[in-house]
Amino acid sequence: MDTIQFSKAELERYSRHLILPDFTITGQRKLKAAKVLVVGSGGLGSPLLLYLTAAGVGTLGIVDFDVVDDSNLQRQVLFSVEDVGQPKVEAAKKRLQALNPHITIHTYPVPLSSDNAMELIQDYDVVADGTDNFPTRYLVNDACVLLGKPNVYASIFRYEGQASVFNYRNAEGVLGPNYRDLYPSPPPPDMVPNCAEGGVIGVLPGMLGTIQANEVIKVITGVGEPLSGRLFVFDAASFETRVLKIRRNEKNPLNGKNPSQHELIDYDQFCGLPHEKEIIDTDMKSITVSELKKYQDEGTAYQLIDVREPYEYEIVHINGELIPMGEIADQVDKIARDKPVIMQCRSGRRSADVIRMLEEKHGFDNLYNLEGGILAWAKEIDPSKPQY
Amino acid sequence: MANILIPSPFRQFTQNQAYFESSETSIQTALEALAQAFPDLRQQILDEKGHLQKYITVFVGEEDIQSLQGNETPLDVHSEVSIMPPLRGGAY
Repeated sequence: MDTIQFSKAELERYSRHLILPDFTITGQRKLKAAKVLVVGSGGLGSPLLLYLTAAGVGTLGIVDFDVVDDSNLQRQVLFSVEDVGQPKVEAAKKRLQALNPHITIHTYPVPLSSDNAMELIQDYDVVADGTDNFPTRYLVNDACVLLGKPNVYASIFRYEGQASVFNYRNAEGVLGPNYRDLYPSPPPPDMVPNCAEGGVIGVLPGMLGTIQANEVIKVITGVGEPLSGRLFVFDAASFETRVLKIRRNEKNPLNGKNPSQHELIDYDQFCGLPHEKEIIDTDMKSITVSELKKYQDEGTAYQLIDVREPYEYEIVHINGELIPMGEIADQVDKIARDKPVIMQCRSGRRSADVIRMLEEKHGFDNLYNLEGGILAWAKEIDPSKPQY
Repeated sequence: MANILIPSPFRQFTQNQAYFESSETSIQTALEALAQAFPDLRQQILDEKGHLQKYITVFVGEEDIQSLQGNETPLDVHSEVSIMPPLRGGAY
């Protein structure tokens, strides 16, 4: 470690660390020698990457296949208006290298999958999970456990956030719990909405991502007591915080008493998500936004029902009859049976669930799902409509 | 009365109520009382047999009930119960 050298510019840049008791140049050397892989460069990844870059982590890897969107800018402070439409990893690298030219940044514009996770993660010392879906969270966790890497975790929803350090081996060699000890089973796909459906207060990922950065730095330098074996919970609405204990579970299939899982699995299947083929093969009738436009232009008789919430309707609508998803069962009598009924939501997912329920429980056979929902309408038919 | 904290993802089923006070003396009966008070919340926290959903982790104080007495974990007037579903968001 003593072979790690700093230039005059670096010594000046990191001087507040160098004079920090317990941290000093020893901690800074450890940061410079460290390789950290950040999975997801969005809400959590933005502050996380900014602070790790500023702190002087020597090598950063960024995994993200997405491009910057207007709706990201409310909280993803890595990006600017000029980045919209650009691959996130490229925009992030540009901004981060401008902040600190003394570090190395590798970019991976691909989805993390069971096929590439082991290869990607094995080159890094620490992984920080800033993803937005359960299959990837279990994938990151399992790959870290199988490879023996610490996984610095955070997740958010609306006003609430959680953080922890998983699979951390302390100085005494004792291994801490991992995500599967806290959550052995994933929720059914329709139970817990994501931020794109449920919303999130913009500063919340800033707070949790910054906590993640702090924990990454603690894990690397050995300064302080990492958040291992504990779950930090924060409610930004009430400003309540809790720290709950997480213990290792002997039934953990990865490293419990009788481990049964020794490699990565199909995480979509584990989380109950249908494969692309199953989605395509579904019997549900659907209609494209172009076909709906044609219906309108030709004066074809139909009923358009918008199953979103009133606050979403206020943002944008296409004159559908508003019956929120939760109220459909009580308002079945408002749904026509003598003409095509087009169900519409934001992306087509909730309206599909509504159609399934109405077909199974109420015997409808005239329901059509609007493919891609109002987002597709805004993209393909009427760009003056906002996308959210 | 034991105080049950409702997590953010579930407040849409409790008219945005963040707390629920219960005089029940075990986790099982307190969650039943909560589900009775907010019927839309039932399927989120309890399965068809009335057992805690497998994907929810419940704490009494700082401790996961699985390291205490599971659903039979006793409650008293000072108990603070945290219902913790997994949160999905991060990259969006």
